[in-house]
Amino acid sequence: MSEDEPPDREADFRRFHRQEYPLIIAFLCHLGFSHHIADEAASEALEELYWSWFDVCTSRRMWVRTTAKRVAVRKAKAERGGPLNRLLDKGFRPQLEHDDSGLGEVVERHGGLVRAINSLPTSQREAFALHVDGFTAKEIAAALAIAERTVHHRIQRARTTLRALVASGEEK
Amino acid sequence: MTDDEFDEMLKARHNRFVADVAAVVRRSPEPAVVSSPVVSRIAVLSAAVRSRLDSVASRVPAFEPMSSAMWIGVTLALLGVVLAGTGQPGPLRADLPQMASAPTPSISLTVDPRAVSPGLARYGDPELVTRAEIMFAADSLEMSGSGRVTLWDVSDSVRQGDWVTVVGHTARAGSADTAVEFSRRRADSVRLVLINSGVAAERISVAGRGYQYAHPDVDAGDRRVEVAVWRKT
Repeated sequence: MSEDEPPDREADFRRFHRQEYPLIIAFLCHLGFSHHIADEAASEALEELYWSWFDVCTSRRMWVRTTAKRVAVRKAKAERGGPLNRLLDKGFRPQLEHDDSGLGEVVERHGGLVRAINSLPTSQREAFALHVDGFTAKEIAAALAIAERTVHHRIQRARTTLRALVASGEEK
Repeated sequence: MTDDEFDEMLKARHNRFVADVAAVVRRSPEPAVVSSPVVSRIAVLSAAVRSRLDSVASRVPAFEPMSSAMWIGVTLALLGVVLAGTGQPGPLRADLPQMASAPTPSISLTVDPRAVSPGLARYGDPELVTRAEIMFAADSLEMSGSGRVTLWDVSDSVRQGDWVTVVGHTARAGSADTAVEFSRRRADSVRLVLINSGVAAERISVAGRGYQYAHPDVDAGDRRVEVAVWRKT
């Protein structure tokens, strides 16, 4: 603990939020979650981080992604078995009061990249999504509780698959 | 194309994707977490109730004159329920001003810190830098939201060489031994937050005093942990 001025938590968090919010949404989209789940999960994870700002001893960037993924999995499960989904299966189409502010359109515009990463096997997808997000193999290994060598291996396999997709022109 | 070039190409596309997402989400208002969760919960509930009543009113035209009055009544009832559910101070915006202020100095310590911390005895007559009380819910190890914020302030005030004493208390209930054990666990949970905030574990002394210093009539004030920071003079 320093003897300097105490850190400005509000300002630190706002900076972190501004920088990481879109990155977390993109990360969750790469993992295969829909854009509205990604948006909600990113918000919730950042809110959890806000209240645990000083309790988080590890990397906050990785912590918030792990939390966002957990929240997104929970939401996706609830959505699959939820009453709205059952109504939708029966042909119910609600009239939405407001749109998603254009996030769906952005994800659709970058659909080639998102679908290409979505097509990878789960283990490779997560490692590669974190790799694209700028994390080192060491950080990814710690977060996924696997060996660093395994991370390199998964990223290499994912890269091979994606290169083949790009070469065949399937990923546009 | 080498692996590095391929990665660069993908990362450039990823960055464009993130930039577009950022352009969309930054059009949204400020992050919701800095507003009161209670207020937003009320807004969501009110909107849900209003939408439900509107749909009922649209199906039953005769119901229309009643809908506004009913909506107001139900919203007020929900407001009451939500506020009653937050009797314990939660992590609300109302707590945030406490972040800037120092922990309250008006609390008198009930336990001699030198009895808690043998290391402190070597300091002779140490200076009391900060003291604070962290309140807990009944029969719970979960500290209040404002207590957590106060702990951050306490941890900020700790400097190298300082000692921190953490003494847990409980309300007058159950056996004395159980109460001592439980108060010790409350103190441990405070210690954990202090360590996570950067205070060196070996500088924190923890003790539980059960209801030895409990108030004879008021239980709520006894569910607490006293934290004090001491400095060599």
